[in-house]
Amino acid sequence: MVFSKIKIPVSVLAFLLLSLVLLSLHLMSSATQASSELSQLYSSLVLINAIGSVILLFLVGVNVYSLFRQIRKREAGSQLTIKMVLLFVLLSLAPAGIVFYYSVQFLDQSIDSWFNVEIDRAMDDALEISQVSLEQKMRDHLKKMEKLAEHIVAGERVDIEVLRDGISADELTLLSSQGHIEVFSSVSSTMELPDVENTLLTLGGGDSYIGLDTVNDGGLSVRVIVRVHAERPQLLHALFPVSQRIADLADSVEFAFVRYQEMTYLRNSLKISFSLTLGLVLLLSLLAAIWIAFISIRNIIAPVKQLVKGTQAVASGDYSQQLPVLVHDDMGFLVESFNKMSQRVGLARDEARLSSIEIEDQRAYLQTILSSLTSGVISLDGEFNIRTANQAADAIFHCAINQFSGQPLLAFTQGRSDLQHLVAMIHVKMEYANFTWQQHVSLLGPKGRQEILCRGAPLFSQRHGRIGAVIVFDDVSDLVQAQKNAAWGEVARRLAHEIKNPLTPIQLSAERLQLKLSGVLDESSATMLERSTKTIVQQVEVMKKMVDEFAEYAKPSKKNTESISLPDLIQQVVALYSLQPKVEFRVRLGATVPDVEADPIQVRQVLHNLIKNALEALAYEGCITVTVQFLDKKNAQVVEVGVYDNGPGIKSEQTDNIFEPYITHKEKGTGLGLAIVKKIVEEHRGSIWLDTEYHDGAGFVFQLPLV
Amino acid sequence: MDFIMLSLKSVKWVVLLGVLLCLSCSARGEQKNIRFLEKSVRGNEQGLFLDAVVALRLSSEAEKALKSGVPLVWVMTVRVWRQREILWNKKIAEVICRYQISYHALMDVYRVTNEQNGTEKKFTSLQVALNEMGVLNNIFIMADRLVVNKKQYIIGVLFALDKERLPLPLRPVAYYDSEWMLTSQWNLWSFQK
Repeated sequence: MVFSKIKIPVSVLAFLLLSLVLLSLHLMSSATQASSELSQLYSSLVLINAIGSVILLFLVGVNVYSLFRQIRKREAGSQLTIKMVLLFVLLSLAPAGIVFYYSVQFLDQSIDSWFNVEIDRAMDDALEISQVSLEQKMRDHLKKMEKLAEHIVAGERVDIEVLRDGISADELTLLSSQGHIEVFSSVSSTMELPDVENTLLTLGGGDSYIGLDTVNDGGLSVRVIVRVHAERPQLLHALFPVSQRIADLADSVEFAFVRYQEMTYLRNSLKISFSLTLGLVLLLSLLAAIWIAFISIRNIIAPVKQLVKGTQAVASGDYSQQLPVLVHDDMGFLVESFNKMSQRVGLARDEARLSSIEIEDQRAYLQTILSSLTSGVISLDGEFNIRTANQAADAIFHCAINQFSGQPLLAFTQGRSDLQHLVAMIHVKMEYANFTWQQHVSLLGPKGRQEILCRGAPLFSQRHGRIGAVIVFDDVSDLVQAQKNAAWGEVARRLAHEIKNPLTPIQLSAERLQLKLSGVLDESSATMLERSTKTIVQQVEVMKKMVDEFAEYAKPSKKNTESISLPDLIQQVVALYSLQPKVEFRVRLGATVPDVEADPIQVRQVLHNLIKNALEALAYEGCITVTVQFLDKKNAQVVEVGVYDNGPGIKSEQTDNIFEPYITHKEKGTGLGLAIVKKIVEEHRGSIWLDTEYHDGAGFVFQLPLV
Repeated sequence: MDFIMLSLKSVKWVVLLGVLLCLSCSARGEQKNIRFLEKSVRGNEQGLFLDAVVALRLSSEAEKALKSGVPLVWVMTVRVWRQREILWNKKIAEVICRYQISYHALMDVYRVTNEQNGTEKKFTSLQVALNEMGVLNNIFIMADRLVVNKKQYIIGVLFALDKERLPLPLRPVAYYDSEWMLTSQWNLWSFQK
């Protein structure tokens, strides 16, 4: 817990650790090179360096593990870190490895160069010379001692001083066979008796012993022990000095030989030791380099990581991200620039949002206006796909056009054959017209005939040119009908005023002529007068009737609608004509025909007119078929009534204006029968047409909507 | 500081690993070449004295090193612990004796030196020299006043090659090469006055 409160900079720790490791390496190197007190610490130093290596290895391992976790999590900067670490490792490993390899090679060769066969032989020879030289001396001393032993007679007094001087020995001792010292002489003033036990042990069962021995002052002596073969066996022990020069030389040769032998033996160990030191240096350097690389790269990458995180935040829409500027170098400048950029992008985003809200408000405002318009508006994109349509358009075309948004204009005409002509016309206009256009189109929609005024305008943008079009539709059916009615009313009024008024005086004048002149004129003239005045009166009556019919046609209708059953009404009307002897009436009723809201008197007049027309066409001889059925169309429900005859039919050139007033192809017709029929049907929001598919005569079909 | 804590933990692990490694190595090389044939402790008014006989046999590598002039230093460690019931045993005495054996090429003899008193002996045979070195008589362990009556003591003795006295280049090898694992087991026995 205490450690966590102390904040020590990583760089200081790294410096301390590396300093310790370097110190340890230096001490180890010194211990390897010199036989100083440090050599006592060699193992400890190796252990310290090994522990240092393990610590560094652990730190590197922790960093590598952490890096791999970052890579697995795809954290920002992890890829850059691994690249830089690999670069650092490569840059540190390559030269260090090369130096290590050649250093080891150099050491091996240098150590091997210390040894060769000649030196081996020379050392052996030197030792052998020393040994031979000393053996020669020792052999001489042995001979002297053997001769001296022969001259010693048991029981006689021995002048040991003389004998010692005679053989030039440093010490001479005569011992009993049991090892008791009998006589002893020494050149040294310090009387040091020989080690009797050791003497007996050394001689063992042999007659003599000769060997080199070190003396207290470090010099060499030749120790000789011989048996005295007399009546009483004795031992003669002597120490002969070896000259200091010879001793020094022998010592030097032995030292050099031993040293050389030791070095030869330690050759491989020496190589291993140096290689170990070098290897530890390499390992520590490499691990330290990698660890420092991790720390350095972490510091270098930190701003980059921040930048990446900041970029991710900006990418996710968080423009409030402001990164701390840790350093005031190039990276710091980059971070500052990023902060400014994100601020500006945030401002721009806010402005765009405000603009978007304003646009949305404008759009809602426009939508409100469009929806409140009575004109239908459809907007199209550049590919003539529907973008938007207002409610008025839905009402005009009796379908929800917005559900076809994004689809071609033709899409909403599927199942609506009445609209295909309109859409085809719009396509042509849109494709070729680069300006505002207008077209009047008549539709036979589900609710009867509609007069549509269609206006279109292409839409352009400055960058992309033509980007679509807007089409405005107005249902002018009522307007057209009103105009027609007004026109025909005016005609009727004028007819009544200009024609009907003079007819009465004409009729009265003709009757007066008849009255005044019938008695005055002769019979033939009277007859002619009577015939003429009668003709005048009849034609005046006809003209009056015609004017009355016109007045009736022009007069605004007053509908008294109620729910009526067309099949019943048809059967009632047809029943009135059943007395026609040469006409066969066929009535075909649909399965289920619902009632319609209509004026029964006017619908009855429609049926009468159509049947009368058929009878006149048949010349009161033939077959008339009346059908009634319920049709459930996609967008409307209607009751359809057909009146067919098997007469001569209607010529094709007469079909275009057959419903127009004053158009008649009969000798006595006024030309108002079908016009009145059409007027009544259209006043009931229905439609009527000539069935051009029927070729056995003439066929008229009218539809009345249920609603 | 986290990584320092981690480092400390790692050091513990390394030390533990090293100890286990050393134990395994010592287990491999010990008591094959060095065995205590006899051991006894005798006490008098002056104190406790150890007498022991150690059978020593060098490995081929050690013998080769000795013949090449590398002196081998042996260390005998004697420790005395007083047994305690609750706490761990208390070490009350430790005696360390070193003996060196070296080869002299000029005289073709093996010299055994007792580093405590400086006495040395020469032997023409290696095994005789080792046998002589293995006879340990009258080794003073501790003063009599330190021995409390009716207290239980444990005496341990160990005889091993002192690797730290090997030539420096040889030490790293000696730490992992079984040829250089020349050490006895701890010989332990109880003692009561």
